[in-house]
Amino acid sequence: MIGTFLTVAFLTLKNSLVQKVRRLREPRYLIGAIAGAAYFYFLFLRRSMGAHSSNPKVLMMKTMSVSPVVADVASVILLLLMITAWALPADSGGLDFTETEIAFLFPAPLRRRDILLYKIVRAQPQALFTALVMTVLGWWRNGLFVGVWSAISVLGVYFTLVSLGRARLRLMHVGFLARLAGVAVIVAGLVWIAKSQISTIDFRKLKNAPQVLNELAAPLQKPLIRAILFIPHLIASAAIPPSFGMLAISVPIVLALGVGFFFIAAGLNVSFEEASIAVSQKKASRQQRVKGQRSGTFVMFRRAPAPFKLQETGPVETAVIWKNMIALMRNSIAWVVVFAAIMAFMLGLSLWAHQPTVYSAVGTSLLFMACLFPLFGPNVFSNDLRLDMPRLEVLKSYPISGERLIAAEIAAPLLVISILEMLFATSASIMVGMGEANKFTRHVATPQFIVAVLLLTIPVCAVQLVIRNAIPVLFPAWAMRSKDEPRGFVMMGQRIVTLAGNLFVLAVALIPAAVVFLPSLWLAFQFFSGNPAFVAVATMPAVAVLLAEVWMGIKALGAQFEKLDITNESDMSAP
Amino acid sequence: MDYGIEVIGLTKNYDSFVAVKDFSVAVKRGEVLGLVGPNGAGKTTTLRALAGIHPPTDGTIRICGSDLRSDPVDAKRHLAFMPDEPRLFDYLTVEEHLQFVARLYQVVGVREKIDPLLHEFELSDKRKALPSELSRGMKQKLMIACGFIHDPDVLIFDEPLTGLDPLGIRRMKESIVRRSKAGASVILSSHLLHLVEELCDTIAVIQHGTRIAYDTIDNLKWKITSGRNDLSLEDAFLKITAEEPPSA
Repeated sequence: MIGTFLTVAFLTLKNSLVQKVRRLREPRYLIGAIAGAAYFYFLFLRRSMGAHSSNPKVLMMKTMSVSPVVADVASVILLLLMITAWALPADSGGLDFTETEIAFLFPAPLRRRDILLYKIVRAQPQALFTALVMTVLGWWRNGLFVGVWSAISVLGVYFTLVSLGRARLRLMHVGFLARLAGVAVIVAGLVWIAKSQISTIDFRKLKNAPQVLNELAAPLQKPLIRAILFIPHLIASAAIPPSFGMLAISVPIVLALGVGFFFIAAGLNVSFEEASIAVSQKKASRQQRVKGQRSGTFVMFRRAPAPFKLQETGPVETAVIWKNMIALMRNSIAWVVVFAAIMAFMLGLSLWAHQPTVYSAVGTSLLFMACLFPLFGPNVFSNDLRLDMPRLEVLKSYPISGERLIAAEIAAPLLVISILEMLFATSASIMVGMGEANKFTRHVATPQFIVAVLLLTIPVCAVQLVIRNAIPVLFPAWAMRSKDEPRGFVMMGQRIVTLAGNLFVLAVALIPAAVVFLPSLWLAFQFFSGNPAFVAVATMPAVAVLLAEVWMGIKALGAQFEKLDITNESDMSAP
Repeated sequence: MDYGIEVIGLTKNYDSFVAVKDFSVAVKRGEVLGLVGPNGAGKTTTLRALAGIHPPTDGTIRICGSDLRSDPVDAKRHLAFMPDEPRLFDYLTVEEHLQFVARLYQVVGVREKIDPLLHEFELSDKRKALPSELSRGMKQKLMIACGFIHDPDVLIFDEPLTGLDPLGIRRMKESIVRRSKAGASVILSSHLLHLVEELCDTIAVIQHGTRIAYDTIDNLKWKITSGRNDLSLEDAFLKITAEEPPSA
């Protein structure tokens, strides 16, 4: 049977890798993979490789130069984890299987022991990959691949055993509280033993951290402690071997230990099938929820009312805005609450402190948020075409032109972002005005400043929203989530490319406005200084340029939306 | 002749792949046309082109006289497209879906229309429910109710009975017949040939993107089965698409 399971695990791994490689023929995956690999290399791998020497002898020496204290400390932590696992409340015995595995394995003529064996074999590719990553990254700098893998695998078997053990105890009428009490007694006993050993140490005589560490490690060598830590120490020694000899000894013993754990788990003969189905359903539901939360489609407040009553007739754009406002109320209102709470906390803090310096500090912080919000606000409030990607087919069948639809789609998030931006700018201006008077205060604490900020930031937000909505229209394959969407560094790479592209386009879009803004500001200073028209003269030309860009962007996207052919894109599975 | 749908020489290519080639049909008001064909024949591509979801590579589509290419908004006002997979807005309730669609089509007196529609599709007690609280069949019913809210002149169904229970299927058939009798032009695609035989006046068979037969159901059966009256549409379909029926 194990041969069949190994074959299935191998074929699953092989097919998964082949599929990932084949997917690279599509530009979005290839570009994502290149960007992700570059990010991975520059952030982790280069540093890790730099830390190691390229000389194998030096690498070997460094690998084996770990202090035994590290394995000792790790074994203490492992012991605590292994004991406290018995105190977890779950006692159904449900194991983590996929729905497909349940459909194929549970009705098959297999013994429970075979299904358990399958679960362990199935976990090996993941364990191997984790061990490989840890070894390559050098996070586990003192370990070797085989040792790390054996430790991870055996711990996996142990925790499966514990899960079934809790279920067996429940059948023996040993409930959660009894287990908790038992674990508490054991932990208390261990703490008492540890304390009795440590109490002999005179900490006042110790000069530095290594001395403290060595003194703390000394009791771990005593026979009683060695006996208690025997199993966790074996596992820790496999993952973090102080020497090759220790690695050579510990790995076979740890693997034998894993076999022992497996037979004990199988011997418990707990009926885990029904509970595993429940676990699988719960997991699928959780994954769906997390996926929805990440993509902004999760309905958090199901009963939030519509923000206004939709009349029967009138501009059709109103219907789209109404729909997106409902989406915002039900999916993203938590963000509004978070931002409002931050602002309320800062304002409350400054009013409570009642100090000019605090007013200035809070005012400056709010001003900082007002400056940053146009950058991240359109990402947070994505209740527009990005949210409607799975329903493009239906949207395209509605009697509304692409241009009007795009404009209506971005209107709802723009409205909310503008309101929040207004609150940030206004409160920043007021707080700065109440703070210490200086040259900066004179400019910021004025109504003209608030008007200028809003005049400039709202079109910038609109530009941002146009750019972000351009992705589903111009590159729908990038915006649509396929049923088997990539994870790991390909997905990370796609996000990096999208973010970089967004920032680049935004920078390009801001250049004409900046070019117009500088001379108009000079003109305003020259001829309208101190005049109420100053703000209008200084900002309006740049605002006009930005609005023209938004208008042109909407027109272009609308025309492209009409031509958009979604059929040959990836499947439009709802996120 | 007063046609709800006129399709002349519709062609749809994906790069070098020809999904639909020179497809033409005309559906009179009150007529129900069944679009049938094997999997991958080009039915959904054709229906999506008729609904204005994707632009055809070539050809003309007129909905109630409005050219879908030159005046898409006016053409779409007359039609309702019901896809095979219900694509609902996760955050709108059943009632809000109907209100939203009604406003898009500028439906006057929507309040008076919502209740009968919800009753017709057995969704009266689900009016405040979100799509996640509905079964697959209920979602399908809501999708179709949204299509009916503006009394469209043209109805395009892609596998309309998927996921419906027997009562739902009967109600759906009655709804389609009632709207067709009221003057709507209907195109429906389905693999359920007994449904097509029961509901449709005419039938277009499509294979490899090409229309290989187009006639009334009786004429088609007569032609294909050489006048035998004991053969069903299924027999005729299998013969015309050169598929041998599985031996019993």
